[in-house]
Amino acid sequence: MSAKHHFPALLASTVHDIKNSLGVVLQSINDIANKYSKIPELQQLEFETHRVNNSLMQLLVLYKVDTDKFTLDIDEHSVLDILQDVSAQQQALLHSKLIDLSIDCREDLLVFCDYQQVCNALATLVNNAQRYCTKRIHLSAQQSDDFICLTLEDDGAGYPENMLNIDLENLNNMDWVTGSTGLGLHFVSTIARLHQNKTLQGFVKIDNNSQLGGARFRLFLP
Amino acid sequence: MDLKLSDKKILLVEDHPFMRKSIRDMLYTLDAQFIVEADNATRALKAIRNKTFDIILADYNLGNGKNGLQLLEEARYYGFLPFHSIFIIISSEQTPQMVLGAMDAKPDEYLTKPFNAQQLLIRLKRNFYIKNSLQPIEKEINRNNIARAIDYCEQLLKKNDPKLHIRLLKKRAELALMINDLEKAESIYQQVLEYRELPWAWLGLGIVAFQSGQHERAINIFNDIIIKTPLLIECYDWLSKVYLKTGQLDKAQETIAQAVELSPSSILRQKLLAKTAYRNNNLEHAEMAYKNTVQLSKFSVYKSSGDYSGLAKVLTESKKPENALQIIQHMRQEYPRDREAELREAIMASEIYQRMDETDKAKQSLNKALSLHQSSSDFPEDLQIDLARSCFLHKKNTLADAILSSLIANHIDDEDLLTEIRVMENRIGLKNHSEQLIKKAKKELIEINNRGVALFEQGKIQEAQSLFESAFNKTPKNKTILLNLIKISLQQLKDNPEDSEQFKKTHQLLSIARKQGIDEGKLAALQMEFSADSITSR
Repeated sequence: MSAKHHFPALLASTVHDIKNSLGVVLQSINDIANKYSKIPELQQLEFETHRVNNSLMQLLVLYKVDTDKFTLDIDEHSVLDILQDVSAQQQALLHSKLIDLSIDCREDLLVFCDYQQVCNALATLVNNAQRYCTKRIHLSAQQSDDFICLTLEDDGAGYPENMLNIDLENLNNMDWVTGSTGLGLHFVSTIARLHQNKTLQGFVKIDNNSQLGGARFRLFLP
Repeated sequence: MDLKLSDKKILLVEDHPFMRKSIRDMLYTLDAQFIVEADNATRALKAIRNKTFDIILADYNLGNGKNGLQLLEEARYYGFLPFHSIFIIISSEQTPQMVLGAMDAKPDEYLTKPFNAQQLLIRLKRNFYIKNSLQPIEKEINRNNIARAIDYCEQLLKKNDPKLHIRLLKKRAELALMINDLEKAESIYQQVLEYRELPWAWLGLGIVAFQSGQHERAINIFNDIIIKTPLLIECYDWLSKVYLKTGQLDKAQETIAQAVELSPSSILRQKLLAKTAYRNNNLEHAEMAYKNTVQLSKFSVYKSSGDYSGLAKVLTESKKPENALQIIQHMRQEYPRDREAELREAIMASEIYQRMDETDKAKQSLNKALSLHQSSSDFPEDLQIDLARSCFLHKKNTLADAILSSLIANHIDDEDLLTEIRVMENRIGLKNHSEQLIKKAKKELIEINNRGVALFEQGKIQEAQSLFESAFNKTPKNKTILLNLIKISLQQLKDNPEDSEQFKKTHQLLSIARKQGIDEGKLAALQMEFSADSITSR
């Protein structure tokens, strides 16, 4: 095997190492933010670090999926817990930007999924949404035939036309100019497809039919 | 459900002072008032031993020494953790290797850094809800009252709480397996699978097939699961069990090796691999697995001098006696003033020196081993087999036979141990040496058993009891006899529930049985059959 082929593994282990450091950085930012909450630069720092951290986490998971080293940790969870966890992850940021995040979900709605992965995927999307929305983001969930549908809507300008038609599963068709949005969507679509029950497989849909007038993202889990 | 942390006792285990402070401050924002902190696993374990905590938050990485999962493993092993305690592992990443490493210890939650107070609270709430709900069942399991545990489980199932339903079904099936009610277990697993293809339900079906002796079917089920979910490590454990049971040693070794590759840090799997590879005459793999075991178990509760002598034995047979000598010297440093290790050293030394043609030293070592062995009757069985082996190698067959005949009489109903003896004899060119002895012991056991059961069925309970009692005194480790004695005692107790003497005796026997590793399920089933208040809830 040539040195070239070691590169993915080397990259993965380095990403892993960087992530460990970032964990400490993030926790310290959090602490400083608790003391001096009004510093805008600090919020920017926290926001960017979160983004780096999330992207790295997603890269690692995708690497493991690619090399068959990944498995979902499926259990039955409350959907409301998931939406609240996602909201909690992004709360400080949304608060500072005066964005209102609302949640609408029955308390007894349950879903079989990998809690950690679904939360992280949705949190990234919320993180992206706050850049494009005006002032509102809405998270909701309901039963949709044999699937649980988790919906994220905003009141921004919606997805650009060229994004609405891309195949999220196929990396060759992806427009990488969209940067982290592209990675985030590819990640969540990969995670969705790994969720299976019998003949059913999870999937995602994006369109501009948001109740709030902007973009709508839907994650369907069997 | 509202959760107040103000009345919860919390243990925070984190080696990084900075992170510790940060998490502690987070807990304070959730109104926590009682927080104990520890910066390593040893201190944490001391705290857990002395106090009951409602919540334990432990970082996976705790610097030198044990990690967070090993802390959990050890706390469980010693029974320091009550069911209601919530154990959360904090890590910077949820790596499958870490998750898979745990064979006997699964935390209630993995929490990935960074996290905030709200996220922690959501996890705590959900675990408190589940634990509070299942607490009555677990309490009865702990008391070994399976009948009542089943009863509670059924009651809860009737309440139709969607948040608990699947969990309760899983528990109900596990309870059925405990008392060998395979039909019930199978029907639950089928019911779950119709609803959702959950790996644990597939696994359950395989276990049912295995327990009911359908080995082919079990193998097929387990292999199917591995194809579908190759990272479900328990499946490899079960598959290797079937292969071992059906004598397919090559396949067993291969399966265990796959599991080890997935979770290289699991000590118990490395140990099993070492033993199986040795049995399979695969010395190279055995050496590697033993070395990994010794290395990994340095800070673990599963550390054992037997692994050192196992490694020394493999090295001796691989014609590396010098290395073997180093290993047993190393063992003595790790276990100063430990009689078992001292005996293991003497046994192995007698063999190593013999291989090095140092006859005097070899003889001295064997004599030392024999006199140490005299000092107690409580040495592990594998050690006694090793001693018999050394005796054979020194042409002291009478001594060897004496050790073996006592072992065989006591363990004639333990096929695994008989196999160990046969493997040992094969390896030193004494194939079938003990077969006569085994045949005779088997015949004797069957005779006593038949006579006792006949007396019991004729209603001559007293006579049956004294027959089994005298057999028990002769071979106190024989499980068949012990189980029969327990059965009779339970019957006596059922007939005379006020007899406090009988009550004491029965419970003594039960605790002896547990100490000897008799299957909890068998004991539970017996207790159920003879329970005075006979709860029937099947």
